[in-house]
Amino acid sequence: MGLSTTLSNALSGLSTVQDSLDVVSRNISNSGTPGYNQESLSVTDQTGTSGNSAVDSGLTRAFDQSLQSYFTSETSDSAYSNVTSSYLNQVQSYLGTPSDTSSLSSVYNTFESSLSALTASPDDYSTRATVVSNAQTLASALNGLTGDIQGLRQQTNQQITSDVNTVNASLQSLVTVNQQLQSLGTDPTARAALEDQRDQLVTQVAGIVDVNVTYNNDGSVSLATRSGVSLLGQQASTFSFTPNTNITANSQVSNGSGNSGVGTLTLTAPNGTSLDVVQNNVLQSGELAGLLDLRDNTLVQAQNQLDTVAGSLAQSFSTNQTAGTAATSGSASGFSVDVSNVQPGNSVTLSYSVGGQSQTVNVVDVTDSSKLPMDYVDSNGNRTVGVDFSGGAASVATQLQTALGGSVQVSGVDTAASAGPPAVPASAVLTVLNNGTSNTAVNSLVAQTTSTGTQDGGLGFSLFVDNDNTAYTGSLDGQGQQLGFAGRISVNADVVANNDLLVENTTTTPIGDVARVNYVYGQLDSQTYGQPPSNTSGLGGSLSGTVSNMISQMADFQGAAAASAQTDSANHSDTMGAITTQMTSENGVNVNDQMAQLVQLQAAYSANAHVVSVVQDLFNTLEQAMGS
Amino acid sequence: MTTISNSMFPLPASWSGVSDLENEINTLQAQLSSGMNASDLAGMGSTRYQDLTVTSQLSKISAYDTNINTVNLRLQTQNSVVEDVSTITGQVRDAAPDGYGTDNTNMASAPGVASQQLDQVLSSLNTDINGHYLFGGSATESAPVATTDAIMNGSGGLDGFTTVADQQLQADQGGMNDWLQVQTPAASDTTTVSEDNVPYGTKLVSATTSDSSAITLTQPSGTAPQSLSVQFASNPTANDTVDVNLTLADGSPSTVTMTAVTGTPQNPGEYQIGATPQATAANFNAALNSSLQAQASSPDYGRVQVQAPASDTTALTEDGVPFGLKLASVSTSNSSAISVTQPTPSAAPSYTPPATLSVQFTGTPSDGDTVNIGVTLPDGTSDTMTMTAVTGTPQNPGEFQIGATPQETAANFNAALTSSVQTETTSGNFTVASNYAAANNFFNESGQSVQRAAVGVDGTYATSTGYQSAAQTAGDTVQWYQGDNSSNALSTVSTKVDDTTNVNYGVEANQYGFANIIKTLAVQSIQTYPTDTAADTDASQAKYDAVSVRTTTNLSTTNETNANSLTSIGVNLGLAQTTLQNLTTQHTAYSAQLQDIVGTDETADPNLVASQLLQVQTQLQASFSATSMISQLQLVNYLK
Repeated sequence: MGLSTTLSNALSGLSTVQDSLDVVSRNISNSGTPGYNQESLSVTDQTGTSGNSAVDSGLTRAFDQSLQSYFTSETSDSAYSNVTSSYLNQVQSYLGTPSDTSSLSSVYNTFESSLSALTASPDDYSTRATVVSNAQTLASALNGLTGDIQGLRQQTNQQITSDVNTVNASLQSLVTVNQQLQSLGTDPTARAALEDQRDQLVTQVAGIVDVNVTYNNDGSVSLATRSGVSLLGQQASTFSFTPNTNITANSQVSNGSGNSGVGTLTLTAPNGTSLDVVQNNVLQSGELAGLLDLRDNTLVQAQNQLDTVAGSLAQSFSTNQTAGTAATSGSASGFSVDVSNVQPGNSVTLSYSVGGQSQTVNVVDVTDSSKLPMDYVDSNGNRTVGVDFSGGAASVATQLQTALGGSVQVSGVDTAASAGPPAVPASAVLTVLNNGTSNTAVNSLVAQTTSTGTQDGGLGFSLFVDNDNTAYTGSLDGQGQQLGFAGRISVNADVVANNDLLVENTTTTPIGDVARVNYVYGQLDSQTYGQPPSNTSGLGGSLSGTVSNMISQMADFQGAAAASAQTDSANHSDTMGAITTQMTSENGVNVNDQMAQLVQLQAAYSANAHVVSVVQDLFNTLEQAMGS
Repeated sequence: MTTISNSMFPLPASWSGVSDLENEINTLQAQLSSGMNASDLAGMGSTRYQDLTVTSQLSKISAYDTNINTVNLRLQTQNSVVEDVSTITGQVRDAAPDGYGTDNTNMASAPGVASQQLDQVLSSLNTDINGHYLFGGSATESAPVATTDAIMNGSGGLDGFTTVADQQLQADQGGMNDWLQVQTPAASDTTTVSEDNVPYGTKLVSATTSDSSAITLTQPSGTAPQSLSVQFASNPTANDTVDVNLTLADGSPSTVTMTAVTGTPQNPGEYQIGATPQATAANFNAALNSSLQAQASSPDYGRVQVQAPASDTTALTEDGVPFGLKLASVSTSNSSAISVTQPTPSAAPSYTPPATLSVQFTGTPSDGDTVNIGVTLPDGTSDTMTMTAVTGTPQNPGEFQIGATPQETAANFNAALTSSVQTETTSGNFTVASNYAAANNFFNESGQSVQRAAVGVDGTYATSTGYQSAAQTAGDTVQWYQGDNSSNALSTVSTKVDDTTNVNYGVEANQYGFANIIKTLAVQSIQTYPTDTAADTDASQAKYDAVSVRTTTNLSTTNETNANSLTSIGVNLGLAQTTLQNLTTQHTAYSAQLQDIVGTDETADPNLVASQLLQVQTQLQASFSATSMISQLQLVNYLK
């Protein structure tokens, strides 16, 4: 023990204090840097040959792995709910509030009111013109909403493209960070910085794709999706996205050969195997999953609701109801109706009761054999049976008998047209009788056919038409006429050119006649429609009732969906806030602590310096003593 | 909305609470300024669906209310028109028994007054609201009735009521005495003689000629009306004859002989041989025509014929056309001397078989014995012709002298009856009856086209045998009513004024109540009442009385029980108005409730919002000062 020991101790103290000051100053300067975790220097005393001295034993970076994992997973969920909420918020704002005059419900109410006014003044040109103009406004509102919703789907694709780029870049950066962390020679300070960078990148990936993070001993990470698909090991997998740049209502995810209708998102592993992300449900959370869900389900369903409203609207005007005439055969009784005018999508409604239990069956004309057999209960509670009417009444009878079983007897008679005399028009008469016992009864049989023109016999007429002024029959063949109809619906050009057609169901109808106006107004007011249980029905929100009911239901559904998405997003936001607070308090820089340390270090430094100064004095004293 | 922040100094969680408070203040401020609870569907919360359906219900009710207002205005207008027409009807009815007035002033002014009133009624029936005509049923786009001038005087080549009534009167009066029509088409060598399609008058039997080489005859054959033709294949030689054999109206045979001459005919029955067969045919035509005139049968005044089927019997027979007098009954005060045969009344529309009655003198009647013949006038009213037996020379119309034998008496009776029938058909009563018949045809309520007398074979209406076809009438007669025609006028216009209520308020100008007053006024306005001589004045007063009697009967208040009377129309419109009033009250109450719901759902209560705002403000202020205080508590601040 001697002065030199004292000096060396003091020097070691000065050195560790200097190192500590470095750390403290770095902490303070980075107190505002996002993702910066507070560092601390461990100092131990070391018994050496010359005595005990303070020695740096290593730099520690504050890090709580379980908190970090929670943060990562919450980041994904929060991003998912955020993106969902922001899109649904737009959908509901497109629909508008009831008090908003441009909202779908207001536009419809205005149209209905003008039609009501027409029942009082069918002879007034301006009243008719108002109806036509309001009908055009309604049609263009539906067109506009379709454009808005398809625009949102288009937007999801753009956002997916940008997300895919971000996530690919982040994964590549992580590969580099991993490699640097794995190389042993890395300086401890640089290592802490690398880890900060690593955590930032993981958070970035988690915002887009839901990930499970595995922290290796060397500080490197491996990423996999929650569904278990590896994203990052030694090498990173790559997402690639080929978007459809022109999304329309008809662009659908097809279940067979990839999602070509909307765009293809694949994940390619480093070994080259690739995987369709959508078809395999790889993603469960994160912004990307949210976008895909919006594009392929939520927004498709919103469009489906619009299309249902548009289709029901068109059918309310164009449907001619033909009630069956009473028919008997022996002790069996029922009704007969001519079905020769039934077009694909049109239906014959049969109401019968068995043992007092009455049931309604909509027999829909489906000529597309790939859709048959079709038998479901629609959202209105009516059984719907698909039957091919193209083979005539006899063929319909056979198909229907099979579907309905023995409680009723179905028969059909087809008569070819004959020039006569007497001239006989072609007819196809479908007859449904009870089974001859009092246990069953046929209550009604009504053919609902679409009027294809404006003056073709019935009171109904095609006010709203599809592309090229063709009638909307609601055909289910192929993709179905309803798909995207809200985007194509328009007001019959003949009616626009001559608004007398709103009133004149024949060429000789006086313009003061209210028969047609009352008929269509009544149909609009009372005719109810239902939706088939489709693949989107899992989301709820299937519409039923009159056109007005459906519009209200749609607005209600979209409003509720947006509200619940907002709540969900707010909840995740709160959770994120809580986690962030906790992480800040545990991992972040506490300036007060650092300042206190600084005071201590300052004192320690001056103490150590004082020791050196004292030792120097002592040496001087010693030298003077020696020299004198 | 925490996202991954890459900015320096990320917002501490404690601060995001403060910014949440600020957002809340913004929301509350927006509520306060807009007065609305929420600016989007999501914000509306649990009341969203209720609000949507209530709003749509409100819009519907407001549309119904608009309809109610529209309909109410129409009903009020209709009601006032019905009231006006009722008032006029009452005035006309009350004026009828007033008499001729001092110096016949009432009578003199009557046609003018009626014309004005008619104009008033017709123009009020053309009332419209913004081009919506109220009295044409569902034909609301055009005026339901023509103008008074067009209706009365015709327009655009179509005849009006005055002409139609005049022609009807000619047809009703009859009075033609020849029923064969001779025609030679221009530049033709053939003359055709045709019967008319009535069962009486001169009928063709056959024709013969002395020169069948030059003159070709076509004999009458087949069913009535028959015709025969005389063709000059070449010019006949002088003194060639054509004999036309006829049956006269009284059943006696007759022959008209036509003789060809070279010079100017000197005697009846001669015709000049012309340069060509065509010229000869024309000469023959003229000569035959005048020869046939000479064969005059007794005229059929009032479209009935007085005949003598036996020497002691006089028969009165209808023409079998829808015009003139129709026989109803016959009676006598002395059935021992006079035997009567009752007619079997003929019926519309064809009046075939024609009714006939006969009076047979089986003995000699005493002085003052009467025969009463009941007839039905063209408008369906009844009249009686009384024939009185007198011993001396008859002094008054309707008297016949008792002869030495029944045959002689019958002959006297025949002559007197012929004269009485003629008097009857020229009476004011008959004229007015004919006018009413014309009015019934013209201002019909059925919506059928006007029934108008067709022109007879000789170009006059006296020989008319029936009505024109509807198509023909459509081409030459003004149609007074051009609106909708429905047996149930009320239901022709129906407006939905509630989810479950349709109000019916169709009125058609040809409904009984309107047509009735229009007919009366139209007939009144075409009458003339000359008072130049005492006889004229008497005749005019008789006519005026005839009009008054019919006015009183037709406009009698007992007719108001008719389902289409003005009273009934007024009651129906009143009921519709009551329905509307009730609905308006209902709608007002219902929409007030609905408004209340929407108000509660949508509107922000300013008091509530203001107090919330204050609360948040206090909270925010506290947060600000706490945050500020905490930020002061930094060690940094105390290290010097």
